[in-house]
Amino acid sequence: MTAMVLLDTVFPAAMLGWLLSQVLGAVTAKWLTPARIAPRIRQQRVLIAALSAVLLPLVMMAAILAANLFPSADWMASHCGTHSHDHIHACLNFAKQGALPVWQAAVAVLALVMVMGSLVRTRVTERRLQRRLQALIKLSNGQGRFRRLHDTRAVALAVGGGEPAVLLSSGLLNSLNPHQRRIVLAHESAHLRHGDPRRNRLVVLLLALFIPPLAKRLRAVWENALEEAADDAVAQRFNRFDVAETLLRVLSLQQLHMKGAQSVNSGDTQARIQRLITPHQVHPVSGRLFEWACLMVLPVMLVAVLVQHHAIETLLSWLGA
Amino acid sequence: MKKHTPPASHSVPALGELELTVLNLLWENPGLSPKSVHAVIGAERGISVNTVQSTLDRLYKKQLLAREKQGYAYHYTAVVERDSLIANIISDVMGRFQLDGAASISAFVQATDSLADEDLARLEEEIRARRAQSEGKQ
Repeated sequence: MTAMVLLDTVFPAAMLGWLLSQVLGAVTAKWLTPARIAPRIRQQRVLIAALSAVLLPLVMMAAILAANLFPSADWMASHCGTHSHDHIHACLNFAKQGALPVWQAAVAVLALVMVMGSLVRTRVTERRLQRRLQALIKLSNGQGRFRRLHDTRAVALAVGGGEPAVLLSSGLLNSLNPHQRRIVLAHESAHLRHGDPRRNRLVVLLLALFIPPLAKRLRAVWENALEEAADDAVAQRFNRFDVAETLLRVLSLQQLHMKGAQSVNSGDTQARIQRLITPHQVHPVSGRLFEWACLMVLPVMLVAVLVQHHAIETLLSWLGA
Repeated sequence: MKKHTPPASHSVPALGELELTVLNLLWENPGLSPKSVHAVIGAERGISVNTVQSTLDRLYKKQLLAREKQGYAYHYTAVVERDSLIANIISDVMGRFQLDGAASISAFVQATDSLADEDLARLEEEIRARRAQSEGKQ
């Protein structure tokens, strides 16, 4: 009986929550994170959209099962009495009778396997990456947060995890003047100061719950916002034209070693340079408005599902028919 | 012993902290036995000779060490150069992992970014012009 309730109501409710999170993700990527908004606010919005893939299914499941919290209440008893045996009913005591539908069980298992597979794959890739980054720290020269790697290419990385550090290759350091070196260091230090490597890992894991094209889009918005926030932090201390020049210098150095390599992206660094050299005004949008709206959505959804319990059951019944 | 340099596309096996410490030691002191390795890094870490021996064995199986039997014990030497190992890990991180949508890396400039030479020149010129314009206003 419990399995029937899970399949009939809890699983469709979770799916509905997940679909809503995909809609929120798409809206966030398309309309809520334009470049004119401050990078920190864009980051917050992507983070909230990413979290919704976990929170919305949980809220929907909690709400649809909340009826079971009041089994002795009169409205619950009369509500249960109005149900026919064929109607979906999110109640552990009055579940729909009959055999467990195989196709419904198969769809639920398939969805679960896909979600778990995506999460495990992301976790494994991240773990492998972190092991290699920690290996680079161990193989680097120097002590403390700033480490030098003996490599001819132009590489600058901020590494979080067990031992946070900024890794700079000798190829990069030897090709930049002291002022440009300070700019690169300040940029990478800004990443560490804001805890970006740690937040990066969380967002990448959460985005595994989104459909791949949407996850890719949200990830691009997230990464651009992270880099632009670090650029802004550096531009407050140094001249923004110097920062733009350093970006361009590192990009051209990197390309010297990548001749013939396949490129998959051509716009991000260019957009960052354009943003630094073009006078722009950050849109004075309230950074908290969206966050408060999202926070309010959760209790509103909970109440709505409780109040419209029967209507939602009818909708789920109709969707499952 | 001939040092070998893995090709750039070669994917480096994941290396643990102890494996890297052993490699660092063998780069400085080639041809050490498990007991000698243990004497340098084992005692301070409180690990047994067996642990050191299995670490050396793992590195040998990953083709990062060569070994030669002298008496009853094998003596180990690194066959991968330190710089070439670093280069391969960087290639792995900036290439394979950065191309993989699942991996999170904070790089100053993404390795996947690239611009045509004329675009680079145009951007350079634009920065110069904007700078002059900005300084002219002040």
